[in-house]
Amino acid sequence: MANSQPSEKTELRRDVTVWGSFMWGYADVGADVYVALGLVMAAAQGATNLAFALAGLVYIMIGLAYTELASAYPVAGGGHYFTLRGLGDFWGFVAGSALLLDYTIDIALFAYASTGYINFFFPAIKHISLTIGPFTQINPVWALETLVVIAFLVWINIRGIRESSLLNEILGALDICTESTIVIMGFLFAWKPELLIFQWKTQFPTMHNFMYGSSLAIISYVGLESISQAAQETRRPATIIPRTSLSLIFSVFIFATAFSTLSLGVLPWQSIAAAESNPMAVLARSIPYIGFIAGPFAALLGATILLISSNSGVMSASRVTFSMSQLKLISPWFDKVHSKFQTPVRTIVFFSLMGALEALLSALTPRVLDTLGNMYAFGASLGYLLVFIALIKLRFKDPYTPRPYTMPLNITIKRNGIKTKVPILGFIGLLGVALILFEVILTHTIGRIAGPVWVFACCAYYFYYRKSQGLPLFGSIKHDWEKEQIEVLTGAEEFELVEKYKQTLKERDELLARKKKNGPK
Amino acid sequence: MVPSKKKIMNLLNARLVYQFFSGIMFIILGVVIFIRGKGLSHFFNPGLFGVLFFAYGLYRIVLFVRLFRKAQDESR
Repeated sequence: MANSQPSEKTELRRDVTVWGSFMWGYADVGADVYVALGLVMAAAQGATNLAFALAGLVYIMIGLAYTELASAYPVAGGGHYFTLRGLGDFWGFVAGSALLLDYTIDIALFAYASTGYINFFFPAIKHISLTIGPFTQINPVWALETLVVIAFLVWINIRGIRESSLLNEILGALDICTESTIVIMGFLFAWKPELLIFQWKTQFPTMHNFMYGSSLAIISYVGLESISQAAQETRRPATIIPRTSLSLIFSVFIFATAFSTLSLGVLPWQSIAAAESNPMAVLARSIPYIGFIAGPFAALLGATILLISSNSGVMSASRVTFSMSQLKLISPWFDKVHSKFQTPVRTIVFFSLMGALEALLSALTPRVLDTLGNMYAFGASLGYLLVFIALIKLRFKDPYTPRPYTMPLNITIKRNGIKTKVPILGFIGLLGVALILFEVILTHTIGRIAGPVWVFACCAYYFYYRKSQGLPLFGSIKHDWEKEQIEVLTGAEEFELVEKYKQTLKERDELLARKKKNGPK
Repeated sequence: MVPSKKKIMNLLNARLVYQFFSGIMFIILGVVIFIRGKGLSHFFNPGLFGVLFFAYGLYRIVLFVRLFRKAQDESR
């Protein structure tokens, strides 16, 4: 049956504009502060803005690394593809599995958060609490709402209905306007610097809590993979991606630090932490003059935009598994498409079920969102760590691929007659992510167990699959990367880069031929 | 010479307007935070964040100037 064949020739349309690319990212990444604010506030207390700022600095470096890699290798595989190119199949799989863990948590976390904002209008639901055996403070209504949302996302994704680029643009623009209004009005009319200073001086968290808070703050920067996913669907990505993703990275960073600074100067941190399921709405409601309308509006917008974030978890999981199966890291079973709707039904159902299972398990804990955030940080920090190592390795291994954007701060060295840029900021970013991973292992009691268990289980599957296919377990399958790179750049209409790449390869071949002719000295 | 409608529209596109106003907004915000939070005496919290917002505002204005020049060149 033709329709059940793996969709090997499926190509993503390249029709996203500069504005569309920015808004795509903003609708995805910009929503995350709606969840992270309450969680980080509960841990980092009076130093919440510092926790956001420190995590944000690491995030900026991760964002710059993604910008470089996504503009050089504009394919939707994202982090796992970059790692595979740099470090080989096995590590590419490990990065992919870490990011897949995050996508399933995205589905659960943002579905929970979205319904949390809906419950802003039904406060009675928040107070429902059951005790079942050893599990206390279970809220079955909230859990049920979340499962309904996940089922809805599965349904729309199987039917192939995805939010249009226009809807993303409208929601992203609305989100920016709302956030800007809250920030401006908040700082002008509600912000009390003496409260901020008081909380900073008297409510500073313990080192353990601060480390937990700053590693949780990485949640507010979830969705960086959308940069590479947008690269696949953008015309001339080498030109557009650096422009849009730099704007996106700095906008998200500044809003995250602005909200945390504002919150600490408007309300005691305990008030925001208590409203863990809808902190932005509570903050917006506290602003004079506009609070009566800004609160409900922020709740409504939060619910919508977090639903899109949850949906992006479903979509991202299917993109990554598609890419992984194309590279023979997982079975093509995952890529079978629906006979009627032509969508990767197995991936959608499988990973959404994983998300639903995570939602159910976390529902058994007293702080659902905190449990999910706790697990999320492990996958993100492991995946990003591997991406940084790959970035550094690729600078040496593949200096020929044109890089329309390179991370700032480089030292140029000459190696075998070829100029190579050593990324100093890449090394600093690597240290930053390693520090966050260290914090996660030290402070995330659930994540440090559940995360590695997931990765090891995935590795067991990987070894089984590769062995059954007669493929190398730790080695890599041979690829003609140069041919593939030319095809990718041609498909992206980056014809100048194709010519530049071909010229560089020609020069390299001439240099090698000359060396061979002269013989070893 | 009266600029053509196309030229005016090119210079008034959404991105340019957004860059300009967001830049101005963050510069003002930075100053407000720094002054109201007595940034010099409390540099490590309101002061630092005031400087951060001010710097971000400047960054956006620099982007605006670059884009504006490009739009001018294109409309010629």
